[in-house]
Order: sequence, then C-alpha cells, then structure tokens
Amino acid sequence: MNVVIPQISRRELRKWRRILLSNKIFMAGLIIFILYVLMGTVGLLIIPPPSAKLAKPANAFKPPSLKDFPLYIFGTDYEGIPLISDIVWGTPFILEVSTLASVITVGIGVILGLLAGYIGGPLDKFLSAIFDIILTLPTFPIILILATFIHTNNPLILAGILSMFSWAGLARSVRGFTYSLKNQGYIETAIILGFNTRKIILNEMIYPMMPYILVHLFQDMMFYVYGLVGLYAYGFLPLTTANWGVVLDFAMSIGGAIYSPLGFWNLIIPLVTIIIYEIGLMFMALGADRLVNPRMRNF
Amino acid sequence: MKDVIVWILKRLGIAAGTVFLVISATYILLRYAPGNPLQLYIGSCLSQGYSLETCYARAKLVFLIDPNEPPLEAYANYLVQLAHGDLGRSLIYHLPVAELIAKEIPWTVFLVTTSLLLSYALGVLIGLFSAKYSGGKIDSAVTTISAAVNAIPNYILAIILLLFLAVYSHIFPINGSYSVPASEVGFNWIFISNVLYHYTLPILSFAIPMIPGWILGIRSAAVAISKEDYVMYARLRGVKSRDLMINYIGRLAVIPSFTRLMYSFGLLLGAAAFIESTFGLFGIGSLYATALSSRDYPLAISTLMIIVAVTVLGNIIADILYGVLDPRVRVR
Repeated sequence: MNVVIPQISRRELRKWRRILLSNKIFMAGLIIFILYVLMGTVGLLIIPPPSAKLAKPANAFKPPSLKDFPLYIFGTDYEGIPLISDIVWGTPFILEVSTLASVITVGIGVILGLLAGYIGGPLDKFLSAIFDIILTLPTFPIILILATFIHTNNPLILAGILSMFSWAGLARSVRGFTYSLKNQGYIETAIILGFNTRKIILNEMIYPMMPYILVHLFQDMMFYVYGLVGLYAYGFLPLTTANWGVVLDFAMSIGGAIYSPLGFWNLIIPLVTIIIYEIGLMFMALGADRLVNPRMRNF
Repeated sequence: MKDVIVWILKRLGIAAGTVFLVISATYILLRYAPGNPLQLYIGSCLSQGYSLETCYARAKLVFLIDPNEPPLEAYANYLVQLAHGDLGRSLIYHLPVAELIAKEIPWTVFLVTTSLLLSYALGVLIGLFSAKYSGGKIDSAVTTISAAVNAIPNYILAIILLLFLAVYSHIFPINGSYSVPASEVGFNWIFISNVLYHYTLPILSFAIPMIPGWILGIRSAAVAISKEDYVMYARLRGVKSRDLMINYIGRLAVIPSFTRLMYSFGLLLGAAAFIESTFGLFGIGSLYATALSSRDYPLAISTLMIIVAVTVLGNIIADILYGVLDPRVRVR
C-alpha cells in the first residue's frame, strides 16, 4: 500500500514556520510539552529509578536541597527516595497512555467524521445520531466505573477507556468541515476531473483541517491527564506502575502527610508538575485555535 | 407546535434508550467483575468449610440477592425491579439504594448549583469586560490567564486550597459537610452559615476552573454581536456604553452559554466524586466513589443511572430553552 503524502512545497513550509514562530502562545505550550517529553525519555538516563537502594527511612520528607545535585532538588518522599526520581520515572506512563488515547481518538474521529460528511445520506444520519448521543453523555462517571471494575494498569486498555467517548466531538467537527468543503467549487471540480479520491481527501480536506484536529487533540490530551492522574490519585486503579497520580496518592495518604507540614514539598511538587503540563497542552490548544483561518470558522 | 412536540418525544425516546444501554452494559460488566462484597462473603464462607448450598443460602439472607441465579434471569429481574422503581439494595450499607441516593443528592445539587452560578456570574462579568476592550492588551491578558486557569484540574485545585487555606492556616475547616451537633441541623441560620463555611473551598475548587469557559463563550458572542447594525445605531444614538454592554449586547450574548449552563449541571454531578472525596463531604459523588472502591455494584449502577438521566434530560431542556430564548433558532 502506497501512502500518499501531502505535497508541501518549501515555500509553504517556510510560511508555516513563520506562522508558528509568530504564535507565541503556541510556542510556549510546545516548549513546555517538549520539556516533559525530554523528562520522560532523556530524564530516565540521568535520574536513577526510585528503588529500595535509594530509600533511607531516616531521610523521609526532606525539603529540597542542593546536596548531590540534581538528586535532591525536589526533596525526598515518604521512604526517603529522592522525589525527582518518582516524578521523572512517573512521566513515561502518562505520556504513553495519553499518546495512545490520542491516536485512538484522532483515528476514529477523523475516519467516522469523513465518512459521515463525504458519503452523506442515511449513513450520515446514522453516524450523526451516534455522535450526538455520545456528546450528551456524562462521560466521566462512565470512565470511572469502567476503569475501577476492569482494574488494570495496561496502558492500551486504559487509553481505550479514556478515549472511549472523546472521539465524538472531533468526529462531529470533521463531519461539518468535510460537508462544507465537499460542496466547494474546487473540490467538486477535482471530483469531476477524476482526481484520485485519496489525494482529494488528504490534500484538500485533511490538510486544511489540521489545526482543528490539533485543537481537539490537545484538549483531549488535557482530559486524559486529568482522568488518569485522578484515577490513580484517588486510588481507583492498582498502584503498581509509577506515575504522577501514584506519587500524589502516596503523598496524600501515607502517614497523614497532607495534614502535617512535613509533606508540603511532597504534595506541591507533583501538583505543580501536573498543572504546568496541563497549561502547556492548553496553550497549544489555544495557539492551534489561532492558526485556524478565521474565514473558515463560520460553519 | 406539533413538530416541537414530536421532536421532544423523539429526544425523550433516544434519551431513554441511552440510559437503558448504559445501565445494561454496566450491569453485565459489574455483576460478574471479581471482588464484589457478595463474592467475598461467599468466598470467606466457603473457606470456613461450609457447603456451597449453605453459603448461597446465607448470602441470600444477608444481601437479598440470589447468587445462584442464571445471568440472563438476574438481568431480567433487575430490569423488572427498576421498572417498579426499586433501585436494589446496597451491598455495603444494607439499605435500599434509593434511600441512600435521596439522602445524599441534595448536598451534591447544592454544591454543583452554587459553583455553576458563581462561575457563570463571574464569567459573564469578565467576558463582557474583555469584549469591550477586544483586541487590546487587557483582552489578550484575560485570554492567556483564562487558558492557564482552565488547565488546572479541579481536584488539583481542591488539594491546593485544602493545603493552604485549611491545613496550614486553619481559615476553613478540613473536612465534612457541617460541624454542628445533630440537634442544630435544620433550616436555621446557624446551620446554613456553618454549611456555607464548610462548602467555601469545594465551591471555589469547582467554580474557578469553570470560569474561563464562560469567559470565552460570552466574549466571542459579545464581540460578534457588537458588530451588528442595531448596536452601531444605538452607539450613534448616544446610548451610554455601560447600558449598551448590558442591555444591548449582554442580553443576547448570554443565551448560548446559558443553555450550556443547564447542560453542565449533569456533567458536574458526575465530576463531583473527586472533590467530595477530597473534602470528605456528603453527596452522590463521594457515595459513587465509595460504591466503586468497595465494588458495591447495585449502588454504583443506580448512582450512575441517576447521573446519566439528569445529564441527558438537562441536555433536552437546554435545547428547548435555546429555542424559547433565541427566536432565531427554531427546531427543524
């Protein structure tokens, strides 16, 4: 199977680069996001994993210090393990699940949206009805109940549960976009001239939709982090893999840390870690929103 | 008018179907998921050396559920009970589920309604203000700060508020829905003020992350409306700018988000689990969390059913209201 790659000229690339660089808020979000990805990849090589070897119960709940830089810059957790190990080694799981969930959401959302908008007719009616029904559901409690009863740490299953309903919003946007594009003169002409359907869909439809897909993608990613961290932090999932939610759960529950000044840094550091990551995603969503051609907004 | 009634009936039909599907799927999943109190009871009874029949009989006495029932029959019985308004019995509280939910739901409704109204009022004010200066420095500052605040997960904000305003500084109580003796509970000022005092932080942690959503909605609507001819004419006539913002633009700008308000209500009922657990409050959120962590499936399913039903209905009401409020939109 030969995949058609949208032909993007060099000039167009330059144009995009200019648009991106001038979009301060998007760049800010992107930089935050890249830093977190580095933390979850390169960071693992620098910071030792949280292991029993590092644990020194006498050192529990130490405030940040510059001793053995950079090992103790975040202080230590309830076992005396450097908190930075917990945070850094907790990153890959979060990135993994949210990436998988995003792939599922974008895949299903774009395909179903295109089908509904491009083919139309009874199929469109049927699919649109499904999108609407899903969009009226309170998805969070349903995700909560499924995650609790399936009770797994398998990233793929968790990604599947988290992205179970989030594709519907994207699918509806894609459907509207496709529907309005399909009736544009130049696309009709391309169809009549017998251009390759796949080429039309990729170059003339998906490419202009990119910013929209990105906005949805970043907003959905925010939701995945919200859900995943919350599920672990409140003990709805088994606490075996290291991730920010587990760090937070231990900080809140072990030895009443939340009610003693000792646990202060243990709580603040993971909380700030999560907030900054979410803000990065939000800024990218806002920036991608501005990439959208305002002329295309009115449908 | 006839069209509208047909449309409403159709929507209600779809809503009932949706609730039915969600309930069926969760029932089948939960009834046979391992680790619920019923199975634990039978397991411990078997390990004490009793025969399977004895254990089943005992479990039936304790939980009023027949563990020996074939799956299809159990499911059919459950549906028949539901149709009679019997939501089943909790496996951990040993009380009718309907009774538990009825006792807890007012707390959550109070929390969600107050948070929604507070965030909406602030969102409208800030949104209109930022629309007035649209395109300027104030506007972009509002947008950026909104985005950042919107990104904070509400339970994270709850933990932060709890830490700084309750644990470290004792300004607000650490947990509980109220702290007056049982004799004082009722509609009196002491009790109400005490409840408000206890609910300040939960309401703030729910409301603050929601404000940006309202701001953005109101702002974009207000910017679009202020370009309309009638606003221009009013401006030329010399209508005061405050009057213009409130009566000419604000009134129309709040319509789209006002309907979203109705719809958000149900969504928040479902999201209350984390906040109510953080502050140790009464409410269906914390009830749901307890039901889930103890695998109390009759309680969990019925709570979910109430949440789904309220959300779906809220959605329908929101659509109807939209048609009533905004004559430009008529249901086709």
